[in-house]
Amino acid sequence: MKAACWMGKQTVEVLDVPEPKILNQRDAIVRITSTAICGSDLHLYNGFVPTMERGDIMGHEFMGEVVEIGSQVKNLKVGDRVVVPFPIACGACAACKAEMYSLCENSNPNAWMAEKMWGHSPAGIFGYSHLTGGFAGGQAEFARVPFADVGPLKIENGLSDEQVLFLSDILPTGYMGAEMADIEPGDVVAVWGAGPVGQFAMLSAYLLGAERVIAIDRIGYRLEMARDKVGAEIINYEQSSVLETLKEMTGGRGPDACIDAVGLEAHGHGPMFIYDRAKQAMMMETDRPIALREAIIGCRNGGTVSIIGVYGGFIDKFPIGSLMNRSLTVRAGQCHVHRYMKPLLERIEKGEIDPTFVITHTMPLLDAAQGYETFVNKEDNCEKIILKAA
Amino acid sequence: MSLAQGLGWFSVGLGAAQVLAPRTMARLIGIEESGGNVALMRALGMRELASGVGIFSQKNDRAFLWGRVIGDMMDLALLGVAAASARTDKRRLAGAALAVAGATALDMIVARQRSNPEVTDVATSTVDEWDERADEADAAPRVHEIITINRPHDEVARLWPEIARRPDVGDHLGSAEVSFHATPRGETEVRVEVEYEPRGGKLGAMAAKVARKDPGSHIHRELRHAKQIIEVGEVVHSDASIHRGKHPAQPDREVRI
Repeated sequence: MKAACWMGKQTVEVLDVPEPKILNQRDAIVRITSTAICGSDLHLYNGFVPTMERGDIMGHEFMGEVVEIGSQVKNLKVGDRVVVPFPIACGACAACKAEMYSLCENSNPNAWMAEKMWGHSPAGIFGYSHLTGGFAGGQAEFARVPFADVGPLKIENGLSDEQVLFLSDILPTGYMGAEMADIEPGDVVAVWGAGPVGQFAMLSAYLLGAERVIAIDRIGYRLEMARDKVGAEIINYEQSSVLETLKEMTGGRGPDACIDAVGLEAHGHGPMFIYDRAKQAMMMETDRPIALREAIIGCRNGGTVSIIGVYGGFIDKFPIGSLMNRSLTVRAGQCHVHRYMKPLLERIEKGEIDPTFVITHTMPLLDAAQGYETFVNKEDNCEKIILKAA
Repeated sequence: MSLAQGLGWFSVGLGAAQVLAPRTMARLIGIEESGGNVALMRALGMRELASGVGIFSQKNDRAFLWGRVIGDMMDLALLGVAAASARTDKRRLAGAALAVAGATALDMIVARQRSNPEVTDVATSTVDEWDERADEADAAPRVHEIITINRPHDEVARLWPEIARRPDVGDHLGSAEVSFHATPRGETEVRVEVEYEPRGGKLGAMAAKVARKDPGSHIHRELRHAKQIIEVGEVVHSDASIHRGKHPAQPDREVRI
């Protein structure tokens, strides 16, 4: 089969690889129809996530048709159309029972690697380095889906791939970002990053009762999307000071909640950005926390900072004093996708959410290499790329 | 005075000279007295001071001693870089390199003594005392591993003897001493204690740990396998994990489990 493989830093090639087989009795094999490139795939692409190996199949946002099931999968049958959540979760461990699916205790066969780096291991993730299991990803014609009796969501209502594909990751991730922000009616919510996850976080913030949503980015077309499609107010941080503008917009207090939808490759300007780039280049910090620092400093006293942008390792100059002395709450996490799939599918069915507005590019899987290049360079007003595998 | 202490005093002296008189030191070893070189000399002096003082102040000085060896390698590398430059005095540079090489050898001898008690002591009784202390710290190598399983105590205790011996779990857990402890949440903590005979001395034990072939790593992995079998029915695999050693995350032509 064809699959988009990581072949080194900033190199993805579509190669012929063997087709997946059932390895565990709760596996299913899915013939993929649509898959997408995620902003977090770019962290792998750019070489910021350790434990990648040449030949790793990329991709953790995918959907398709069940073509084979293991003997213990009772809820699916061949021919079912499913969306697959990006974290792999067993449904039986204490974490899964608590609906913290991205913290499943059984789904990462390389848990020891994650324990070395992070103290404890989160769940396995498709196509997301060996630290999270060494699972082949979904930017391919077929994928093996472990715990198929727990994760995949059946789509039975004739909705298009475009309408439901993002239930695999970015829509629930954005939603969880807003949920963690503990939004109350009248709240002002600022979102750093107007990529697809940021857009969905803004949209969800409104759904959860925010009065005003403010988008912060540097890329004009992304801010325009936030303004025109989601109804957010916008700040372009290359044109105005974020902290000053936020104060101006909130009577001097700052937003009630700040959502970091940027993560470890944040951009910025001024000496701090140069400082972080240099430290990252010299491997003295792994992640550039420019957006996160600003989200903390900008947040109102007693407010909440919600982190859904991906971080991998260590950061420098973390404003712990601001956080502690001003009673901020920080919440974070890889999305517990399984928890949100059904309720969000219902919202899509009812027409309350139409996630298709973020799609700017659709191309065949065979063009994945070009897709990565377009996405990483923000060429051609690229916001979200769907790859068609069939 | 022990060899280690001698090295410590040597470092303090050298470090002080580098920090206080960087230009003289630069001239002495035959490199240009440029601003960059002077700053570098001061920085190296600070490191030298730290590694010298460290010998006297560290309770567990093994890491420090190996750190010194790495520092020596760094100095040799810098001298090598300097040798490639046209603006250096090659004769003095060679002298400096010879001195550093000598120091490296001494640092390695002392570091090895600390790391491996079987190496014959070449210096002093103080080294012996330190070795004894190090031995006490790692006395009777024991592995202690623990995992929590989301099933009631009685069930885990009943299933354990059979599961611990399953070939897909591994072959270290079956014979290990194990105890079960019910948690207030109705889960079960499984504790395993194993005593073992380390092979290949301390360096060997360290290498085994890095390669995850030490008893601790084996037991840790097998406890996870047992948890998976009890909680989800089988050992969980990924496309890469079914292979020994490295393998990309992509399906294989043959399934080998």
